[in-house]
Amino acid sequence: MIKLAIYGKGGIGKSTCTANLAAALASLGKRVIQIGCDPKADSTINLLGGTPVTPVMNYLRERDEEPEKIEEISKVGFGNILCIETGGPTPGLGCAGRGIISTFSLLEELELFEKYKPDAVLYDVLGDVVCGGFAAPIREGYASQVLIVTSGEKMALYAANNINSAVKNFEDRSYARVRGIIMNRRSVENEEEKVQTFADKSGLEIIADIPRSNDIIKYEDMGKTVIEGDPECETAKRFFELAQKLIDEDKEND
Amino acid sequence: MTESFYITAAELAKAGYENTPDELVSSKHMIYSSPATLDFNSPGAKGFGVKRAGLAIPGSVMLLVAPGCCGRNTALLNELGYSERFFYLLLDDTDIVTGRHLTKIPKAVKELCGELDYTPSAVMICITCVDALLGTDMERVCRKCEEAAGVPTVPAYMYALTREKRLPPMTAVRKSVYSLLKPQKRISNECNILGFFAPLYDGCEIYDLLKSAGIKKVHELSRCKTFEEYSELSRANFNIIINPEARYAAQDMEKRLGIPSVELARLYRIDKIRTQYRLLGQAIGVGFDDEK
Repeated sequence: MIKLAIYGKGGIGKSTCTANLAAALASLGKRVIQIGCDPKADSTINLLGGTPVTPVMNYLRERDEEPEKIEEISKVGFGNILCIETGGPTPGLGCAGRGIISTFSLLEELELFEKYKPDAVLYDVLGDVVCGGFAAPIREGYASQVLIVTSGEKMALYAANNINSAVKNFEDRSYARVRGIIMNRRSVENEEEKVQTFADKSGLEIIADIPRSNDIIKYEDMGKTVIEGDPECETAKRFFELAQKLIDEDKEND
Repeated sequence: MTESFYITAAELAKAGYENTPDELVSSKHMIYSSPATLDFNSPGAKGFGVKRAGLAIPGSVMLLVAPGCCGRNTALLNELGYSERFFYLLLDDTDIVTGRHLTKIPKAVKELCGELDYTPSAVMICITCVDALLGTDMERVCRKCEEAAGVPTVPAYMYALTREKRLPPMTAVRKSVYSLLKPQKRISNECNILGFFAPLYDGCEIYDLLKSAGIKKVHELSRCKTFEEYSELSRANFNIIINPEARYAAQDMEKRLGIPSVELARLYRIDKIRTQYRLLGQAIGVGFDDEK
């Protein structure tokens, strides 16, 4: 099974990359779950035609009881992707990290993986590994590989370096490892060179090169990924290539 | 609520789940009803809480990891003869906000095992609610402890705040105490009784019934005197669950050790108890002679 956690600086395009990768995997015939682990709870919105799923934290806050079925906290989106959002606490209160831990415990109790039997699970994680809750997706049983999304911008590379160090800090037999970098281009001067320098220094591979494209914005305005909106476009092709690569590697590992 | 309250099953069914009266919702107030009163055992009455239950593995010791304020109530255990098996690692504010406890716990376990004049069979790390927010991966910390001290280490969670949830502390700790069992060849005429941390009384009819059904050995965790006896629990052919709080542990034992289980409900009417034993007999393929 493909189990990925996607990290990166806030606003760098993690949710866009995650949703497009999920959509590409689904289009290639895989049964996919995407779990947004960000209080913004907008990771899966473009898989759902712009209509968001109720985040788990909202469900718990409003009902004061736990759901009995996965269907109560999920929605099926493009390509039959099962979409879940952890959500977060009331802004300024509570603990977002605890929200992720509680959601994961709940999904385990509801036997999400046993019942849904996915081929791929993607965790879209807020910015940085800021506390225990945000490390939960890379624990044993969850993601086995981490993809870091970065552009050539200095602060994005800085965050990418922090994430790589944090994941390395947890590196032992059962934790996820950084598989590579998704270069999400932002039209920065010498962008490829900058990202490649970081990749070389960190011993990481640039596993995908996503061009700066208006297609992404165009289809997101319609509540879609580019995979759904225009599967033939160059951006979509890059996501398909990444998805196929991950599928092939997963087959080899089996 | 001081007035007595009742509702018929038909009224309850008609109202639907959403309209369950507050009187029946345990989180809204204290409930006193006949079976609940019989089942209830206050930790203050020196029953089995997470800490005492966590020490059910023979020869094990426990390290309580907690801020001083939540570790204090454990003094009660000393009076029950656990003072030689119970140790503390107190967390301060800096440990909590910096995650320093991740390195302190393995050091403490190593020091603890080094100070003892015997090698404990296992170290239970009991951590309190504070960890629910820290999000410590205790499984990983326990592996580090094992590497540091060379003794099996198991987490137990004293998360009082999850008491009303699907996996409350007393359910989780049952899984912890059986987690050191390793798969082995099962013996067809042996079984386990899972449920409580004290044994059933010796004259309990279930022993005779199981014996008459050909069961030669009935294992109970609380009767195990040594770690070797504890290890024998995994050779049982099946588990009998007599407390729903042990169901999660039984499911884990089925998954890891291949031991299936059958659950008996707590009943108070003789005819129902009899029917249940008959059903148990059918489930394990024997007829019980309950006329004696």
